[in-house]
Amino acid sequence: MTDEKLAVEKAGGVEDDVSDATGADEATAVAEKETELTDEEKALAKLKEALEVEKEEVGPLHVKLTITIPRDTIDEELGEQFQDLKREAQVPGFRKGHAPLKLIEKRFGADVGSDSLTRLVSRGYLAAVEKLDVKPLGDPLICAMVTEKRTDDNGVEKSVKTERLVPVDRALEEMKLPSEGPLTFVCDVELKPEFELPELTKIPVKRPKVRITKKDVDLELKRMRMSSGRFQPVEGGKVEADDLLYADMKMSVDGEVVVTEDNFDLAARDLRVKGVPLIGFADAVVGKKVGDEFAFEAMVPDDHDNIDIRSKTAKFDFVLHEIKRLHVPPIDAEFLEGVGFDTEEELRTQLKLQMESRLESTVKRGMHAQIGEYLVEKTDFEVPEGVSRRQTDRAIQRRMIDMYTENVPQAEIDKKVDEMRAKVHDQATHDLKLFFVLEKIAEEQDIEVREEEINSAIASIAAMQGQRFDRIRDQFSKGGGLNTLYLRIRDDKILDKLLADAEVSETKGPKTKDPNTKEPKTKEPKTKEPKAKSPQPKGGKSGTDS
Amino acid sequence: MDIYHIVKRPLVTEKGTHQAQQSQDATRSRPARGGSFAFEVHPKASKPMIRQAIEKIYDVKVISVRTSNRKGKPRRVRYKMGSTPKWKKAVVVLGPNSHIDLF
Repeated sequence: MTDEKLAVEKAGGVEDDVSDATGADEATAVAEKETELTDEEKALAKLKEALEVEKEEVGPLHVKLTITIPRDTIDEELGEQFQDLKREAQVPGFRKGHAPLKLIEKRFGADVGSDSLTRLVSRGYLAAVEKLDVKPLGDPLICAMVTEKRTDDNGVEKSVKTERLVPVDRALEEMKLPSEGPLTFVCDVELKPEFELPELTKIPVKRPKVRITKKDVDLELKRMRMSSGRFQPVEGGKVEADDLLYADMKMSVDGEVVVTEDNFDLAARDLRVKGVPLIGFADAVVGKKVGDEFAFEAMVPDDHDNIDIRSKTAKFDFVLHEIKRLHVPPIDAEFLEGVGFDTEEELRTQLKLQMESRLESTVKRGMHAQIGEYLVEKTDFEVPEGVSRRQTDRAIQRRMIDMYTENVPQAEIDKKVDEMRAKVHDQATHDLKLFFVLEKIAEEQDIEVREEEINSAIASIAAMQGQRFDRIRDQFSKGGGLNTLYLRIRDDKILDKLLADAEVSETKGPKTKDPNTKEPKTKEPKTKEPKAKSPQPKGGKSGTDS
Repeated sequence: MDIYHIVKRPLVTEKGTHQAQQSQDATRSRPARGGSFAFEVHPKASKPMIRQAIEKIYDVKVISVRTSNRKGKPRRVRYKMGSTPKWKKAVVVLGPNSHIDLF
């Protein structure tokens, strides 16, 4: 009996014949669907019967499959292809469809051969995987004779044929359908790990007990005021921390001048000048006056652009010309109007609401992370040995989307991504493990993501980044980000579901929980975090690359 | 005339293959005949010349040669009338043990 009928019965009060009719209709529909599917499925099933496959374990979750497709199957496939072609082929001297098969074979043999090879290899692989009942991870690599150009000792370039594992597309370019005998090819496949899911209810989760206090709102307000502040010249004063300075700069290494720049602008804090981090610069510069000359020495990092000065001590000579200090606007009518509020109270309430929602999402993310940790810890399996690049990239993309939704500025995201690439392996292994666990949960609990959910997620990212919906969607679909977004939404749904069944205990949280609220001192004087309802930044920007 | 000038090209057409098939079928009742094949030949080539050329080129036994002269088709280039060249067609019937692999 169909689900629909069961549902009808549960609802009660509907006549049986109606539900029977519905059931019959559905049965016909299913039968029709089956006949539609059969062609491809039949071919696959037939191939599954016919082919021979040998499995060889190469490493943990890593196998080598030797697949042999018998000659009969190849001939049958070719025959079908030629018959199809005979109906359509246009040969001079013959009406369409009247050219003899022999002539068609001679004319189009090579093309049909490569088409058939593609079909045989792809179907053969799928059939072999089904026959062995293994779950492959990603696309296989196929062993093929590849032509490579090599330069010998005398500097002469030669084409050498070597046997290598290459992606399917590349392998098909090199392979040829044998004119006699069976087709044999070797696939290198990584397998999905097999494991048991841990207990998914009553997962212990700690929820930090935190709330937004008046002090937090004060800090946020101060930050907001600073972001709309202007730098103004200081007459006759001394340098204070975070001031903006204009000075003539001369950078020399081993007594040789590398760079000089007049009216160089820099901030009075620890920063990076011409790729060299000036640690302790803030302390050295505080207290200086206009006209003062001073020097500062720092070590050039070993990854500096200029190879000659790497790991050497660089001396910076400065002649201070001007000091500018950030003038923070008072909370007056003008400031309130600028940020779109009538009273300070309204602004504070709005700020508090914003901070609370941010805090809530941070706390939730923290709890999701705890569940993720639990799942990874409680599940015991090995991640496939050669973690494919695709999976690593996916982990990076997912992090990028995380940052987009956390409203991190683009420049920061780019920087983070670069850092991540360097040390992504450990994290990727962890993420992969979590990915497999979540995938299995989604499969078992039938959790799916609808198109509308993806669209609404894109809309909210677009709103936060201040860009058009279509543009963000295009960006995602171009870089394959839609799939990542799908996974993220699916994972969130799973984690939300698990969180609902989790055993949540409250713990004492840190004083200030909101990660977006930082001490104003560490903020750059002229940049601000993009945020809804915040004013646009005014004035110039700092010339340093700090 | 060189033999390769006499026989210009085999005619691989629907009509030709059909005739060849018919001829092949007829062989069963008249076992002295093989298949028939059509060629474009030099307009001035005679039947004996064609027979000799085909026998040399394809190493077969020719039973008979039938020829026909084809008129060129009228063609117009802007305001001038012209025509495609006239040509000669030859259908050769081979001996029972001979065969030409045209395709």
